[in-house]
Amino acid sequence: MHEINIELLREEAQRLLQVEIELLEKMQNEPGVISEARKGEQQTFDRTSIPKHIEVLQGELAKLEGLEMVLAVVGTMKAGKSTAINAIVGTEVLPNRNRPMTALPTLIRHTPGQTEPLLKFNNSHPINDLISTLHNVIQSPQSKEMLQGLDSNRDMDELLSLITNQTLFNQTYQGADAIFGFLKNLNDLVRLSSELEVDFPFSSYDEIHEMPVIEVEFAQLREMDQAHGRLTLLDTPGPNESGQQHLRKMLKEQLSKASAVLAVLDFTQLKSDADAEVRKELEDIASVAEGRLYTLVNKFDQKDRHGDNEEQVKAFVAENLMQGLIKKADVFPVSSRWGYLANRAKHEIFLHKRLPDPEKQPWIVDFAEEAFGRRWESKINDIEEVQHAAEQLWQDSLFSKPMENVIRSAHARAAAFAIDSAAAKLVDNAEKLENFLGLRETALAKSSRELQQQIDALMSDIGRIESSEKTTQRQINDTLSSISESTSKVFEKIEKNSLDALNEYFKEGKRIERAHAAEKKSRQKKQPAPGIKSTFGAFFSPFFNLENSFEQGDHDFNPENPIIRCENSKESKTLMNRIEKSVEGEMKHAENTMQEAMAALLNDFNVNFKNDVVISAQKIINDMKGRMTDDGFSVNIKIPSINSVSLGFSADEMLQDIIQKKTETVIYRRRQKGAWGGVCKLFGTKDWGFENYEEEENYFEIDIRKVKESVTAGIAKTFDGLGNSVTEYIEQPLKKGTAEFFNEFKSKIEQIRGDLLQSIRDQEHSKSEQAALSKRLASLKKNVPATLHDSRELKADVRPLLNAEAQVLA
Amino acid sequence: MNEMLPITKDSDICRVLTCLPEKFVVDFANGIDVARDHQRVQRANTGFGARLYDGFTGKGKRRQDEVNASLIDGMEASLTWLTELSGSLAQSNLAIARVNDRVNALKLDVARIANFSAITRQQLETLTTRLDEHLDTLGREAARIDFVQRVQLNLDQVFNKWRAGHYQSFSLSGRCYAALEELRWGAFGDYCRNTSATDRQRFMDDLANRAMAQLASDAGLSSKERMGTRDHWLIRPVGQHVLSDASDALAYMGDWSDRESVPFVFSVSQLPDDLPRELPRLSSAQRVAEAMVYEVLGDNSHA
Repeated sequence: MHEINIELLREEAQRLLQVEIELLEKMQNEPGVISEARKGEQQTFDRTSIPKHIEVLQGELAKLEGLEMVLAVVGTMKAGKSTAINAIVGTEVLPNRNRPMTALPTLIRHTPGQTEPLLKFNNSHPINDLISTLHNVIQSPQSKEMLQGLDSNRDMDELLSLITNQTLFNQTYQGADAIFGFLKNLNDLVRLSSELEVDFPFSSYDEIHEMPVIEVEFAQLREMDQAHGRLTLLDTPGPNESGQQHLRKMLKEQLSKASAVLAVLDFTQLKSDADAEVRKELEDIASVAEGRLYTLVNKFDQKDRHGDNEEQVKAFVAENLMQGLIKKADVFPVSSRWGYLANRAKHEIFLHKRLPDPEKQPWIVDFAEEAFGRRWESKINDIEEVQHAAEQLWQDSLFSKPMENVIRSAHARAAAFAIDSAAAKLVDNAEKLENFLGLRETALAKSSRELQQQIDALMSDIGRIESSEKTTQRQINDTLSSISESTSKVFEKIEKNSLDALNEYFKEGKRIERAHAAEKKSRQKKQPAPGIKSTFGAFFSPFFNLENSFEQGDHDFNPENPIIRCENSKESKTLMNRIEKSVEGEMKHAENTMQEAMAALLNDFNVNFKNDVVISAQKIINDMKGRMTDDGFSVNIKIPSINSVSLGFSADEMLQDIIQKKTETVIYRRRQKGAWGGVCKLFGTKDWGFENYEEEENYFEIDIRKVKESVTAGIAKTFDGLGNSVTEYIEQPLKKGTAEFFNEFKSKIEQIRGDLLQSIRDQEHSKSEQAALSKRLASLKKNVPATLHDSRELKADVRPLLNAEAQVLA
Repeated sequence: MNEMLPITKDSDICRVLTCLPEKFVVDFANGIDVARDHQRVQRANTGFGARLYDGFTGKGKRRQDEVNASLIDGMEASLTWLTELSGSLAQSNLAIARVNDRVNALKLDVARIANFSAITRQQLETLTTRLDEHLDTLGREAARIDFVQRVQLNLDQVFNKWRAGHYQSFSLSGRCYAALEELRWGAFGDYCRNTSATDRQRFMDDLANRAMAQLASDAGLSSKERMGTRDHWLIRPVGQHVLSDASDALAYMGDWSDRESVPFVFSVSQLPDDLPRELPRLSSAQRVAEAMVYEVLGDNSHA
């Protein structure tokens, strides 16, 4: 295939938009072509709708002219993500502190002329609402207790006082320090909400336009031609930062929409990072961002003589760590620190012709030491020398090449998106133009009786569509009730299996207890029998300290007693871990069963929809076309997109989302703090039925009845929300999708009817006026087929670019 | 150097683009204007038009002097030339018919204006007779062979020439344009102008298919595959085989085109820096062929 340059597609899209806008404007100005909107009828174009069509096309044109490139940056705080961002920007926008700082996705937008970073937080009200909610919550005694359990630190105190005073978040923050304060508070707020079990309004921040945005001029892009578009970095919360669960789905969406994705890895941790978790994370990202994922291997300045060289690092990351999911050429060992210091120094010199005082800005010392070594003081005032050294350091940072490649790729991807969106609108509009102008022109030559017959027939088409819609709604309800039936079956199964498993553990625990008791008795005489160890050892011995488990002698063993006695917290924790794991395993297994069932049901629905609805829609369209063609009309109507009806994600993903969120709260809720605190909490709460009766005496009891109660309640709680989730994830999109489908379909037919009604009115004019109108319509129509053809071709040409490797086409 | 040489019927470019002299004669006839006193035939001083003029009228100094000496009056001189040129250069029905139209119009103008000499009137009468004879001859020749067969012959000749590589001096789309002009001035054009709309559409569709296939083959693409219009379809070839006159000749052939109504012909022939809005920036062989056939031979063309 001939390689098509993305710039050419962009130029073509712009051309077509101009052609269509010009034609719509012409139609507005030609007498008699466009009439006023009328109540109870819908024309393809009328005086009210045509300016809106023009506006939509102009919006597409604006998007093509100022491309918005979003470069998502992912990576852990430790890997130096903030420094990498600062290096790209050329100033310190993100605080490089030893703690995670990105609780919410944040944008950093290249804004020419904005030398001091300015954070805009227009969407502050959900957070401010949260502050009022928290203000009420922290008054409760329960919360007070909870807050006392939290690590007390200055940051949290600051936030609490902020909440107590109900200080609201501002809409703008000027300068790096103010931005730092904002991000810190926001981060703490996310953590605090999760501690207090108040929902953080994540969903209010899952779209690009809702996120906080830092506007600042990127030093590297200062001279970049604005015609190429605007670069925005999307700083994403790292994999282990708070709130990540809620943001996971959203992040995936954002990553799939991003123009390019930059993953930051740590060179010094490369080999140790190569564990399953990090690899899994990267694989996920690579699968979403296929073809536009770039990897920065940061801290390459810390390489010693024996470390891997650039080539080896590239090969290791591409082949071992990413297992071929990324190309070697897309892996870039860099030093973000050098890049940042060099870029910032260059920027300062560009802005002020000198460097600031090292006393006031400590980064200067960092820069000078990296650029000149320890004897920097003699050189720091020679501006030419500094400039030269900054340039050298920038080169050593190896940052130039990845920046060029990533921006080029981002640009191509952003362009492809904008073109795709424009092409869809262009085709739609051109089809409408063809129908509208063609119908009106043809209708002028028809008798009004013929027209009326067509109009009546269209009316009955609409009736047919409505009855098909009713049938579909019934099918949806059937599908939904099947889903709820199958979920409740699965629910029962989970409950039963979990309780069965619990009984097993209870027996197991009792055996141990008996073993303990027996052993103690015998230990009074001799060493424990080896048989005991081999029977239970494989399971529990590493955790249960048999030596000091139970108090001396006086312990009566009762296999029916629902209480299991453990010697210390470690033992009980281990047992509880086992129980948790087992319940979790049950749920996981059940989840798979449920996934399969739901996927099958949804698939059935989709197949039915395709078979019944689409086929009957096609029949309605064919009948209509046939009638109209017989009368000499040429109309082109397509079935609305069926995509709107299928779910935007797999059943697998949805369930993962529901279950994970819920298990999180049910099983792990109390385990957010350090290990000791977590265990204390587990045993300190009635919720789980673990009670620390006599801590002083140093043994623990697990009441299996309460565990059962709690597990049963937990499972119930987990699936309690499922009904809502099915509504949210399946019912709503399904109903919305089908409603959209049928509305769009009806509207298409309505519009043809409206155009014909207008044609009857056209015939009320004099013969000469009609002749003039016919001529005008013909001349307006002349280029429409070519425009439609070119728009369709554009759409077809841009499609493969959305999935393909954008960088080769840049 | 070559660029200044006069173009004659034997020039390479006239062998490639046989309709060049035909168009020249028609232009020459249209350039004669009774309203201008003491006119010399409209003659550009430089460029392709001037070279055609020089070549077809014979630039030899002796001959020029002769002309200047014997024919004082511009109108008379022009008509003398026209009589000669239409005899020697105009082979096609279209050219002769066009010249005939022009002569008839001139006769009306002359009749309205009193101060034209009897000689002029006489010249016009003679010219009319000659042209009628010429048309008769063509008509008789035409009658010997079936019209449709001649149309087919015309098509075959043009496409054989294209396939054989004689249009290699032109851009990809330029080849298509050259072929279409050859057809427009030939039997194919005659047929299209005289047949019913439906029949014409059928012939034009067939022509578009042939042109599409040849364009696709020249471009090394399938007929629906798109590539950049500016950087591929409009790019002029370079190399030893390329006739230096090729672009000028196409520009001359397409001097009638305007950017709005015939964007393809305008772009292909005039090669503007700023492409017309109606011209797709990406085109397939199909798109180029269909649009150009329509522009050159369709309702709205000047044909």
